Amino acid sequence: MRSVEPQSSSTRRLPLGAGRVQAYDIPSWSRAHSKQDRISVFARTESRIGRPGCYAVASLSSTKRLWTDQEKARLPCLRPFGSLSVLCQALSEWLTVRHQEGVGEWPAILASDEDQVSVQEEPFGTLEAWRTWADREELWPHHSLETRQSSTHQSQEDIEEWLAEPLECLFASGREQEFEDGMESDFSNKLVSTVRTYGNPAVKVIADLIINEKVNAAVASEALRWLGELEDQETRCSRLWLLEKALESQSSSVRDGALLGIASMDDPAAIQALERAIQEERIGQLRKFMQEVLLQLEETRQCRSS
Amino acid sequence: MEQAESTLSSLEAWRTAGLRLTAFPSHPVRADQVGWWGKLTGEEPDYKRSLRKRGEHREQGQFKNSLLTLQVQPDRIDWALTGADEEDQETVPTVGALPGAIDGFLDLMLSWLDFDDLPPLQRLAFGATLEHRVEDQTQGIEWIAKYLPSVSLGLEDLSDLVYQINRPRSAESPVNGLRINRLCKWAVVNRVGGFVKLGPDSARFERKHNYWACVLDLDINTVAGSPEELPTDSLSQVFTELVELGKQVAAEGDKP
Repeated sequence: MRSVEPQSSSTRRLPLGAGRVQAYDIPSWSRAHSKQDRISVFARTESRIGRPGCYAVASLSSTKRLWTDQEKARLPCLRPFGSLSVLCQALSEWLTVRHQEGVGEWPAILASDEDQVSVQEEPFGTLEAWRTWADREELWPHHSLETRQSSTHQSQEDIEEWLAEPLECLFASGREQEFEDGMESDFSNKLVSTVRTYGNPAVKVIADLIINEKVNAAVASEALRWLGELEDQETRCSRLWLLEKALESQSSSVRDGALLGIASMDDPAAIQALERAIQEERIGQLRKFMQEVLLQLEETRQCRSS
Repeated sequence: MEQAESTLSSLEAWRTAGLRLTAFPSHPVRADQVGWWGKLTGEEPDYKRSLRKRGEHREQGQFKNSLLTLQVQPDRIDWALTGADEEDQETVPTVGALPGAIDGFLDLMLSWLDFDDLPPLQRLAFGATLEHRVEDQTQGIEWIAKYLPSVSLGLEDLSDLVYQINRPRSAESPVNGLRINRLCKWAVVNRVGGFVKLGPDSARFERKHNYWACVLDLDINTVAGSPEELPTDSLSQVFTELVELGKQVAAEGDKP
């Protein structure tokens, strides 16, 4: 296995060796999780290949047809990885198997400028993506986004679909971070930046992750605080809806995050939802905080009407 | 092929595939509690669906030989009027010729904008998909070129024409500083449609139509980003202006 040197030129394709995915000299920790029909791997990069603190995202997607139980058994990817080298080895072994079975093409590794690394998506779609967060942003459907401000069409499902996986990765990466009250973090910066850039489709994806409890409650709570703090007129309505909805969460941590978000937003429109939440709240301390925020919103309403 | 120098067709030349009003509330709407479809039409919708975890609610039903749909999401309210499917259709379903269809839709939407349980709105939009059937792609490009006087197409060996432009302007409605986007997309397309018939062992595609058409997609809307709500008493006036601007584009083509 060998490392890939960062390239100063524009993105170029590196041919793969015989049955081997290129390995990267990235010593830091990575991890994986699996779903019924998909396995996703997240790796933190700290070497010269990735930007410090930046997340390389390796994602292995496939259809149920490809992911039989037998195939899963062959895959070391289903266990958490000790390092990205192990991940590369796992991918390599898996791809070798796929190649021997005559399925699809080999993926190609791309080494791009600015110390970013990615793997080209291939038509048969087994190895969907391997690229840094920044790489992904360059690959967003820019055409849709450029007209976002003037267009009112509802054709943003493609953006939602596109955002689902990186946002899921972002929330997963948040589990490795320690959040301090009111302090920005890598997670909060990326979350805010994503909402600013992609608007309501991003909020919808985040809402799906939080409301359907697909993500860690502490990370969801942190996200809700920052969604309340964010100044972005276009997404204000959908963010407020998410915060109100999150007050109904089973998790007290999520309800707490939603409450802080609502307090930051300071919008009297949330009064009704807050009153309902107070009636339902069983944790005394949290109910007390809710009553304080309710008072704040009522004062705001009075100030605005006078 | 030479650039045609002829007058534009009348508004009747456009068939209306769909009309839309989109309203952006400043506060989330409790979607399943609004009951606007029934209140507006005086009838029950044929179809209702609520996705509470997504905050979405949809009501749909026949309305004067067309299909009227209300979709409410946390950040937007959409009314859409589209053609109803018929067995022997040779084109995509339409609401009819432009002037009549648009006037009927405008009346209906003005009634809704007059409802007293509307949430405060920050933006309004009028959307329309219009089409004009042509013999082939070449004829379509010639026809649509007349509507794009500021574009030099050349008309030699052209295909796959799609032209989109936004020409924002200040509103005439008496709302301070209100700006209006006039986002228009012109295209020549091949419409192919049909049905998939499912049998016990197979699925068969049965083609119902295959024709060329010039398509104009209008998205006339008040600009985003303003924290100000649109005054309730000016909503009708603003929406009427959006519709009139759309009709103007359909009648006169792309003009600054």
